[in-house]
Amino acid sequence: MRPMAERIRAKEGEMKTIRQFVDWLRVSDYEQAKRQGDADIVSRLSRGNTLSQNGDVLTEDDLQTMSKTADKDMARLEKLIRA
Amino acid sequence: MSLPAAANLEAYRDALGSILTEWNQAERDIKIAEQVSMRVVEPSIKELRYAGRRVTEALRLILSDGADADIIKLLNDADFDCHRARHDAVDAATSRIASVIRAMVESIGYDTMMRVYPEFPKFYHSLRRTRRKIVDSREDRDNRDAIYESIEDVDLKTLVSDFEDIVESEQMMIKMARRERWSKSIVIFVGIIEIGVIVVGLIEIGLHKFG
Repeated sequence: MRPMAERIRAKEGEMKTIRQFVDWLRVSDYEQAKRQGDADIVSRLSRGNTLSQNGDVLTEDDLQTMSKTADKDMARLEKLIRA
Repeated sequence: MSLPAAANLEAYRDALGSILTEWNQAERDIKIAEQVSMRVVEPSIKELRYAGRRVTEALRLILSDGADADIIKLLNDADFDCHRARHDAVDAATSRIASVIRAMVESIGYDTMMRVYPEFPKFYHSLRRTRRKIVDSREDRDNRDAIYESIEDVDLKTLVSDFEDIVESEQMMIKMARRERWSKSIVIFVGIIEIGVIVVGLIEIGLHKFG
C-alpha cells in the first residue's frame, strides 16, 4: 500500500488535471492570459516610475530593453496567424 | 502674489509653457488609453504625478528665490516626466491591445474571431504597423517624438475604436469557443469509448479463438 503522503499528492494531481480541464472547457484560460498580460505591461512600465520616484532614472537603453518584451506578443501573434 | 514673485515666474514662462503643452497631450493620450484598460494607464498617470510634484517644488524655489540651476533642473525633469507619460500611454494602449488579441487568437481561435469580426485582418495590419513604428522609434532616437506624434494623431484613435468593436463581440466569441471545446470533448470521449469497445471485442474474439 502506498504511503499516505504519496496518495494525497496523487489525489491533488488528479484534482489539478480535472480543474485544468474544466477551465479549458469554460475558456477561462483566455481571462487568465488577459490578466497576466495586463500585469506584465504594468510591471514593465512601472519599473522606470519607481526608480524615478527614488530620484534615480533608468537609462534609455534599460527602458528600450524593457519595451522590447512587449514585441513578443506581436511575434507570437504573427506566428499564430500564419499557422 | 506680489510683483517680485510674478517677475520671477516670468523668467520661466517658456519652460512652464512647454510643460503645459506636454501635460495636455499626455492627458489626451491617457484618456484614449483608458478606453483600452484603466489598469495599464496607471504608470502613465504616476508619471504625471511626479511631474506635478516637481513643478510644485520648482514653484516653491521660484517664490523663495532659489538657485536658478535647481529650478531649471526641476522644470526639465517635470517636462521629461510628461513626455514619458505620453509615450507610456501610447505604449501601454498598443501593448494591451496586442496582448489581448494574442490571447484571443490563442484561446478562442482565429477562425472564430474571423466569423464574428470579419474585418480582423485589416485591424491586425493596422496594429502591426503601429507596433512597427514603436519598434522603429527605438532605433531612431532623433525622430522618436515625430513617430509618437504620428501614432497619437492618426493610428491610436482608430486602433482603439476598432479594438472596442472587437471587445464588444468578446462574449459571443467566448460562447462559440466554449461550444467548440465541448463538441471536441464529446467527440474525443465518444472516440475513447468506441476504441474501448473495439479493444474489448477483439480481446473477447481472441479468447474465443485461442483461449
